Amino acid sequence: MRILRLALDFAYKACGVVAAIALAMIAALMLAQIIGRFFGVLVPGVNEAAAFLLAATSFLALAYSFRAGSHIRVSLLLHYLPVKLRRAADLVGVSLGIALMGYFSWYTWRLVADSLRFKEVSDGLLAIPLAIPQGAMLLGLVMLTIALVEEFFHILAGGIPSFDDSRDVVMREREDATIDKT
Amino acid sequence: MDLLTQSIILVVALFALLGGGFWVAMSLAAVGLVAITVFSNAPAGLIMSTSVWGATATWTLASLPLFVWMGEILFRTKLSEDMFKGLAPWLGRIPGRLIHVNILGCAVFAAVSGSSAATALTVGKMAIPELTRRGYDEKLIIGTLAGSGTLGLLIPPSIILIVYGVSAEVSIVQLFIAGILPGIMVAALFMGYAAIWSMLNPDRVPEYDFKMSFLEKLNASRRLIPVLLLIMFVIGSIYQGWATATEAAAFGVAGSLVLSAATGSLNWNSFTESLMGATRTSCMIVFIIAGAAFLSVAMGYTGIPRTLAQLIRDMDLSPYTLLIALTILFVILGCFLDGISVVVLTTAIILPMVQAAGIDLLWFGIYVVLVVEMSQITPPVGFNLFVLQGLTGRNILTIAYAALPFFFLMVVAVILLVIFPEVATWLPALATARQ
Repeated sequence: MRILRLALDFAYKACGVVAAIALAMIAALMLAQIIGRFFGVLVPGVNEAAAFLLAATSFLALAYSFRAGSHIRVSLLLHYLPVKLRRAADLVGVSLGIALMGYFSWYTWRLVADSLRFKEVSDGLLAIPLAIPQGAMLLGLVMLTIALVEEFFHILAGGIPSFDDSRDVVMREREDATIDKT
Repeated sequence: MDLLTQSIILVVALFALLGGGFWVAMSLAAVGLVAITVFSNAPAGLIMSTSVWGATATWTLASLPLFVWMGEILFRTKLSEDMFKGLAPWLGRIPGRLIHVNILGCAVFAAVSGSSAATALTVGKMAIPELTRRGYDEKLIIGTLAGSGTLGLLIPPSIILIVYGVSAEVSIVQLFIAGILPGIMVAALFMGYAAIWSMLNPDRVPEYDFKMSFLEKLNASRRLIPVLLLIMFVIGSIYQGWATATEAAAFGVAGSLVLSAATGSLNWNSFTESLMGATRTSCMIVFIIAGAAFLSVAMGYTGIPRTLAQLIRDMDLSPYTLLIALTILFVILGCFLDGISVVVLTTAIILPMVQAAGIDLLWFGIYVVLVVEMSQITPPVGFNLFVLQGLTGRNILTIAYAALPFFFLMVVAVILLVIFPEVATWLPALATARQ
């Protein structure tokens, strides 16, 4: 079980790193375009490549940023619930997330399958097969669904949700307490 | 089922999901799914995947992660430490003296960070101890911080304006140019208030303790000036039409990397941290945009926005009445939702209504952002107030009371923007005319 969690963590992180590389590539491409224009060289297909890299970076990072607690939510009301109710609310939320993202992943697979079947390519000069960037979107959504499933069992087993944002407050209180003692 | 019942069901569903702590992006998508499956016969799943793909794989949105990254890099250059040292020597002659460090520091930091909470937190962490030690009025310190922290939303390059531009299909370049004057206007209102307050209460403004020659002053701000130049160059290249927003953003990234290398804060660790941080933040924002894009398409299938727009047209409402109603709605939404979520909700549902009332969408973008800024310091539940509460340890009512004058100044700014729309539209028109 622990090995599984470690392996999954590694997978989320790996997708996150690929996403970060895609982000850096957008910057590099755009700089290449500026420099190219300065010297009168046209770098072909920058805009379509940037669009696909943006999709890749956004979706591949989903699970990684989910585990880091970056996705925002309104947790104001949850803070007022007793611990048990709060855990139940978290479980309902995560289950809803699994259903929604599972559904979304399935229909994104249909989108990818269509792009494969009709051999669709991008409009611009590069004619990139659409299935490649759409595949990145599918992979990112599937990873997020898996992360949500893992989270469900983690909370069920009594663990603290990895997206929990109330821990900071507790930590601050603890720090204050140690300062008082010394 | 009539449209009223449909609307009520959807609004209740949205608030139940958001209030229950469901992630904002997923809440928007879930409501879209409910709208489309319950109230129409369209194939919901396929519409979901195609509309999200269409909304995220666009070149115009590519400036967003780059500006986020630029902010992350500059954030790690000890910019905030240099801010006080760099700004303070220049402010001795202005009434209010060092209190203006708060406002100007926030304005500079806002330009690079784009998040009002981060701005208030970073500038406050450095300025509050310095200012209280010198004996500046506590209420004014907290108030200026709360107010100016929100400048980040308006001063370009602004993340929230990119989000609005992409969702409302308004040119990001035009929006950036439109945001310049209103941003300066709000900063000027704040500085004017601080100056007048200080002239009325001269006994509560401490002595000035910086005695420096001009060269010493320049030396003190030597690390701040390159950052200012970089920001001005990025905004300037967009304004002059030399670069698209995305190209300017890429240049901003390169420039910030050079700056952080020059100040010695660039290493493999800080580089990867900034990049991973930018990846997480931009992923979060794009996910919300994706959810909102699907919601927007789904709402189109229900016909609710169309009917609302028709209603506005039939009632022959004056734009002012509509704007007052919307302002109140945004202030309420802004109390518990962040700015980006408010903006995408707006564009998904009420944009047709705004268009029907004959309101210019470019102007409306600036107006929405200004009102969202205002909602960040709405007493007693604005988001920035909570940030300052955490920072100062004062109770929320004290903070809200200190921020109140600045809340009213924001109201004045909104009124000025409504009466003189040229504040937002004049510069973009000028820039277009020249090109």
